[in-house]
Amino acid sequence: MNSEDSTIQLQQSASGSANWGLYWERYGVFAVFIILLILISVFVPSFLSLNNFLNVLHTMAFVLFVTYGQTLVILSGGMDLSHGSLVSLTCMATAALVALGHPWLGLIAGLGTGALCGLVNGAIIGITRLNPIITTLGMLYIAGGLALYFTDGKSIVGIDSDKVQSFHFLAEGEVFHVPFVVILAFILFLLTHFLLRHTRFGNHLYALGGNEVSAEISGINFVRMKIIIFTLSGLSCGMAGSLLCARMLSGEPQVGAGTFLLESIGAVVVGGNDIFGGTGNVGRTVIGLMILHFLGNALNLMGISSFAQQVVVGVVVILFCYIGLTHNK
Amino acid sequence: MIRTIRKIEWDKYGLPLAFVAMIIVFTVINPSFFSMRNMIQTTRQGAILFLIVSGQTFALLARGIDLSQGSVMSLVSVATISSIYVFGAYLGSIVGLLFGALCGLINGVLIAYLGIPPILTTLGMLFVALGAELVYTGGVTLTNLTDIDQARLFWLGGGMIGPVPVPVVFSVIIGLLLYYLLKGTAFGRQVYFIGTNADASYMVGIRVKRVIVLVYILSALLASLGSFFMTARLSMGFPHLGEAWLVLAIGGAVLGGTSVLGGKGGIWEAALGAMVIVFLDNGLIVSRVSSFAREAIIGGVIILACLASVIRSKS
Repeated sequence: MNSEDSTIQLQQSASGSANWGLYWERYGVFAVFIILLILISVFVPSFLSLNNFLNVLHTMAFVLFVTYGQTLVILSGGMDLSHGSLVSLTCMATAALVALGHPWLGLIAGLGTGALCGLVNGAIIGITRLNPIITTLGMLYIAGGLALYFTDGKSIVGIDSDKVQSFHFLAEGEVFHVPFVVILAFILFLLTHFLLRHTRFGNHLYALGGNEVSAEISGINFVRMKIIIFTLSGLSCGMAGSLLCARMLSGEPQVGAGTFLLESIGAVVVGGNDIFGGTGNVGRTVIGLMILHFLGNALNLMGISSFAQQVVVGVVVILFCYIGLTHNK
Repeated sequence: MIRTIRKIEWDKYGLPLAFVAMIIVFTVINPSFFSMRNMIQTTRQGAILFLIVSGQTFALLARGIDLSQGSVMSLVSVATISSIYVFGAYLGSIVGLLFGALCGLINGVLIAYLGIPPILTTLGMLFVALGAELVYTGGVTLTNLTDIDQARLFWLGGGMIGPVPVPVVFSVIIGLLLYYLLKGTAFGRQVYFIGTNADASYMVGIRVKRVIVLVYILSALLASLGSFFMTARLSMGFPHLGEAWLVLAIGGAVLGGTSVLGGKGGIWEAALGAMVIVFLDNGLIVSRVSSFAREAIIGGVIILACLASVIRSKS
């Protein structure tokens, strides 16, 4: 549902009894987020400090890029399972060139590799109408294998931080104590939001997610849309991968293998976007990811092992999906 | 000539023919591929993958998907060994399998009764099962079985009955049972029907929710069985046992010809898909392709096979 539609419905229902379901749908996730923050601050004293906040945001920023791409894909009625491996592959591609002394070429290579893999996904899904889950699952395997293949599973190390200072700054630098990568993520958030809300592309994307058949009948170019959407999704992985390389100053073939994929899809779901597409926005995704990361941070501060955090994140994703769905019906 | 080629029903015989061609090519590259020993070992792998793929097939047939299979396998591997510490080899193995079935039950209830989409439920379960099992073991492999337990357990996974590995015997029996379950019982027909049209199935009186719960229990249980045979052969509880198997499970099912859109496919397709993947993997090993390149090649083959099926269904 577009925000305009629900505004109208809110006004209509204001005359009678308030439509709580609609309020819940629109603001529920913000309420949950704020209540969560209050609860954590009460029970975990060391949580409430500027330093800790900035730390969480700093770690989160790298995942944020990926969730923007996933939001576009899911809103258009698809799903991209190749994210984890693509991050690893693009990280390796960047690191390979950075190690040779060309940091900016490396950045371009990382972004290019991501976009190319996304393009392949999009072309297959758009032209042959193959199921996106299968296609991207195959890409998950291909990209994961390639990331390991180039170096026989070894990391690319030995990058001198003095020689690539400005490249390193992208991921680790600070502007007035705010990590630069957080600012970068925020700018991209604005861009994605603009793309979705105020361009024809965005309108077509929502239409495609709402009803693929009628969107096509009304003249939307299915093939072109799928190719663009999945290329952007791959590009977002390229950003995350190359910035992770800039942060670690090494290429890790398994950097995306952990919870990247779950967080990428999980953030979209926890934020309350419709998993089948057509409803939602990128702001919700950001809130969703914040919920996951602040919760993880709180568990960290309480000294709970990272293994247990996987359980909690898994449960939270299922739980939020349940809450979201009940109120969408 | 061309007319005879066109006359072949590629839908039915395309993949078996490709399978035979593949075996010939790999034998030419390296004759030891076709040796008795290699064939028996590969069939053992294939039998295990077949169990997992047929579990996935049930989920796909009912228009779902089970992404938690890999983690459930790791969980079962660990649970089996630690139950054997307590209950001994035979009872312990059954308790281990029950842990797998429990994961499937939770999946099924969440999907059927709470209406959470299968892909999300099982993605969540992927991390819950993995995390739980890693918390329990701390990531350490479980070993140190008593000699008696180890001997009993090893026979189940690594033993032979005549020239045939024990898991192959079990897989064939289970495969026949599953074939009958899908084609010969009301439950099986209901699974197909739900996959084709869930709303219509509900209206004609099928207890859709109960069938779906059973489907996910079967999916997890069959994956657990696959995991059990691997665990038995290793006689170790390995916390990362299932990691690589999820993609192979879905890939094998789709490669064999089971549709991800539900309602089309079956156990024969599962067996075929599993065998093609296992022999392809083994052939690449024998041809000295690096293990990482193998992953990429198999991923590519799975996508290509899906493409072929899409193009076929269009024409």
